[in-house]
Amino acid sequence: MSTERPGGERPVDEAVDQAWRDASTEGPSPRIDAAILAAARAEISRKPATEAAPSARARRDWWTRWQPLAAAAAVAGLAFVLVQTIPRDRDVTPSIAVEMSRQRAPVVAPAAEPSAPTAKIAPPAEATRSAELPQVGETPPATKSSEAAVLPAAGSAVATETEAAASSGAASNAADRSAVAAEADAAAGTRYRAAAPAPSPAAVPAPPLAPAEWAARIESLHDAGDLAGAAAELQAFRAEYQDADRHLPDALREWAASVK
Amino acid sequence: MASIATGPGRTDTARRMRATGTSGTDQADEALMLAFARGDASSFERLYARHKGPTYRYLLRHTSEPATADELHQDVWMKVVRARDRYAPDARFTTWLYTLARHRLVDHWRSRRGVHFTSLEDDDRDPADRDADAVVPADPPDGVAAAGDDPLTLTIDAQAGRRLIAALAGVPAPQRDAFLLHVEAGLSLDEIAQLAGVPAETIKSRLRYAYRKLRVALEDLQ
Repeated sequence: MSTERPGGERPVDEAVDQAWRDASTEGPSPRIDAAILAAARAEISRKPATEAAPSARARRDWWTRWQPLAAAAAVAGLAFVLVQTIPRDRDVTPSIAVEMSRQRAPVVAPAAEPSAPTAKIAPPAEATRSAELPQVGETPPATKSSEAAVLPAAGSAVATETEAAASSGAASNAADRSAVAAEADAAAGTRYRAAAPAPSPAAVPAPPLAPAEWAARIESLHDAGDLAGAAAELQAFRAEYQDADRHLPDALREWAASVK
Repeated sequence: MASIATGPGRTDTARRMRATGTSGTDQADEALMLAFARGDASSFERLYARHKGPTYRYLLRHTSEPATADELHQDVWMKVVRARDRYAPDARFTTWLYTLARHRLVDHWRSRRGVHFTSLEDDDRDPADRDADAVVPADPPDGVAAAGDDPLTLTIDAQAGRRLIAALAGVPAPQRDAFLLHVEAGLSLDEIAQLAGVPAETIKSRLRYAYRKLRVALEDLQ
């Protein structure tokens, strides 16, 4: 008989319900069951892939976002390495120039500046050397006070100048310059030979010499028959030292008296 | 004929247990579905074993075609499988499951010309049955034995079951739907009303009507 649940919530007919439960017992076919369960397992096995996909996509996005910066950092690093390499070679050039300048005349004549467009006059002596050449070896104390650095545009001027000086036949001073130039060549390599033009002899003053050395050089020029060179050296000697003639050997004093 | 003695409370509990697996497992249904969403295949197997019969029979009683019921049943559960990522336990799993089944049934009927899903929603009862509520009173009328004493509850055989099923096929779709959701799915009146989009009183009326028709079918056996 039909009735309603004691709580009045819904109609209930126990006989119908029981009869229904006994009669309605069908279920899906095993094939359908297997298909559904297989689909569920496939869905589960597919899920890690779908979860991995976003993470891979995130990694790709991360790389895409940071790739330009990484490339820029790599380029900057490479440039830094190159910069650290190249200046090391360039530092050799001024150091050689300064070393050479120690052997030269202390001051470059102002008139010589326009004639040497590739050269620039460095500040005198210690300040320049200390600022530019901290890695250069010891400086001869005798030349510190009077030296002035002539910085060529390219270091090859040193070798060229040295060769020119050697060809002039000036004995001891030229030999000194050659020795220094040889050291410079050994240090800097032969590539310095090719570059800048050699400065003119007028523009490159001779380093100051002691009176005895200067007198010996004049004597050697005189004995070699280079009277003109000896006379030029004598005039320079006289310009540097008031009592130049007094340092000359006796054999040259008569000749020196003829030189004005 | 099999003799079955049932009491009201026991019957109700047994029906609900049958519909939902075990008493008090409604929460477990949601937990199993969430576990399945997290990748636990065994949870889905348990969930499916618990609900596959009722959902299949719900579809079978509406379509009366085992092949069609198989197809619809598979579609519904495939939707469950695919929707696992989106599943949120806002309501009972059973309500959500039969919502899917009902929608699939509607799609099936819409794809077949001449059959309108509105028959599920309309309470278009036979004019002869418009006094169904009066025929199926809320309380047992005087002189009528209680359900446990009803001879029909004592002797029901397979023939009665077949007749019952056949009788349900003749019940209008809205009443049949309410009855199936009530008996097979174990949904409450409010849940059926929410699912059908009608007031609970309407569902109550549909159930009374369905019960009356089925009881008439059983009484014919006597």
